[in-house]
Amino acid sequence: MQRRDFIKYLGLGSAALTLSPVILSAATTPTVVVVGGGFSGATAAKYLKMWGGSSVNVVLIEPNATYYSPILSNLVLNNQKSLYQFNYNDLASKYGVSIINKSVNSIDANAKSLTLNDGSKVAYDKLILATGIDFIQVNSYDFNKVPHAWIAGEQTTILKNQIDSMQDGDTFVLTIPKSPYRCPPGPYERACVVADYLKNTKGLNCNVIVLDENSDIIVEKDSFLNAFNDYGVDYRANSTIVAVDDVNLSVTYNNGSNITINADVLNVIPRQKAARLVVDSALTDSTNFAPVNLLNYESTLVKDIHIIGDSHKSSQPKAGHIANSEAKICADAVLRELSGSAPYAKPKTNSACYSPISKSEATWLSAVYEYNAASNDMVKVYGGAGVPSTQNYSDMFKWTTNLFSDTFA
Amino acid sequence: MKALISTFAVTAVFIISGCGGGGGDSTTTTSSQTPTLPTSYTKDDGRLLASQCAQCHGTNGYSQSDWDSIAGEDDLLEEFREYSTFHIMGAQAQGYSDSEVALMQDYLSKFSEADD
Repeated sequence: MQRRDFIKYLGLGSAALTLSPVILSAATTPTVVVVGGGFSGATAAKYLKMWGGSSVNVVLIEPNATYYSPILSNLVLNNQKSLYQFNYNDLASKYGVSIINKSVNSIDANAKSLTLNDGSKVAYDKLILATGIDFIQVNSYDFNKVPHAWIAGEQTTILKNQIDSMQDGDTFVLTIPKSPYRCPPGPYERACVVADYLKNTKGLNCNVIVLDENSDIIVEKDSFLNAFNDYGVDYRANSTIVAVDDVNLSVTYNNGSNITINADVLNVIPRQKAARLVVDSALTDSTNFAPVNLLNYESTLVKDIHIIGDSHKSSQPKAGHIANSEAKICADAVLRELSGSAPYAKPKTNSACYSPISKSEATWLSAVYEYNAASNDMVKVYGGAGVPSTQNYSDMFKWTTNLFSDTFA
Repeated sequence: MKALISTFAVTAVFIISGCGGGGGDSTTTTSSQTPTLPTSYTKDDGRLLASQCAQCHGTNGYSQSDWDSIAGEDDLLEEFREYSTFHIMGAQAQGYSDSEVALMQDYLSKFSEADD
């Protein structure tokens, strides 16, 4: 029944004609199912086929036909760029990945099958969850009124429109969640880009207030602090968010006592946890993220389920570039296991990120991580950071062009 | 199987990005690579290490931007060690040993150099 459903799905996809003879003639070909088509999931699907070829069937389950990149999405807010968007046509046509545009309701780890939102089932030999983040809201409120804009797409557009409606004397409040969260420099970058836009592009005298749940700027402190001073950003560390009011558009925070401030635009980036499917499948621990063996990203709790990208637990940052990096380690380890070998014993991953601080300058950070058996963690072996410059702003797009292409094309 | 491979042997221009509104531009990525998929998996430590270069230098070292392609590179160690740590490549390079770079070069040198 599951096998028939699986073949039926292949028949729906654009890769059906190329793939079905392989599937039908090789009933024992293992199937790796990847759930989630962001930076980690798309990379995993592509590299599984690029390295494994016809020795493996790869199915990518992603409910959306279009992926909107969070990377560079702050440049939508200051009117420099539109959202960068991608589809999965290349993964299907160039690499033979079968795409299923549905969502996953549940995982049956004993039967090694997934139940999709239409009730159908998909069987797997190995499952890779690349499901990203979910939010932890302090109370219920409407994301259309208080956008997070931390998953790009419609949310980005909502926040952009709100910022564009700001008038002289208005107040923009951005809240930064307790770490770990997706894209460590991202909130600081956003504060800079929006403050620069309001002051220097629109010529407005607005208040920009940053409430940071962390005790200090957690990355690239010098670059962001200098920019905050230039723009007059009111930065308040140790500000734990207590309540969000989407009617009065106010936020209450605690830094020793409760303080409520009103905003004209309120951008609360909530605390984060592993995506719903990972949490519901009992793959997380007390940190709300999924513990894995960092040689192959297999869950330490459930066999044959691997978790990569923002949902997994390690010292690596949660971000698109390193999610792509982790996906290759996982894909290779899965292919080695399917062919009877142990994972590569000394994997290295790297993180790199360019952060705009205005419409013409950007800074960067980078780090290399290596596997440490004693701590079962990826440990930073070197980290570096740049200073804001127009050259870095130009280089930022050279970086993203190759990162986007390596992931989706 | 031959039919499967020949299906991929099509050089094409793929548009991977569109325009979502607002005043920015859209991105067009030209990919002239023709992936020939293998019929079986062969493990290769150098390939795995070198794949970590691809986020900035393109899949298999074929850059799609103005940054350097490293496909066909036969002196990768010199490239690794020529930048100061104030440069993002110099900072990245600090994380890799000479023997790891040699493994990467073993893999990348098998590719023909890019046209750029």
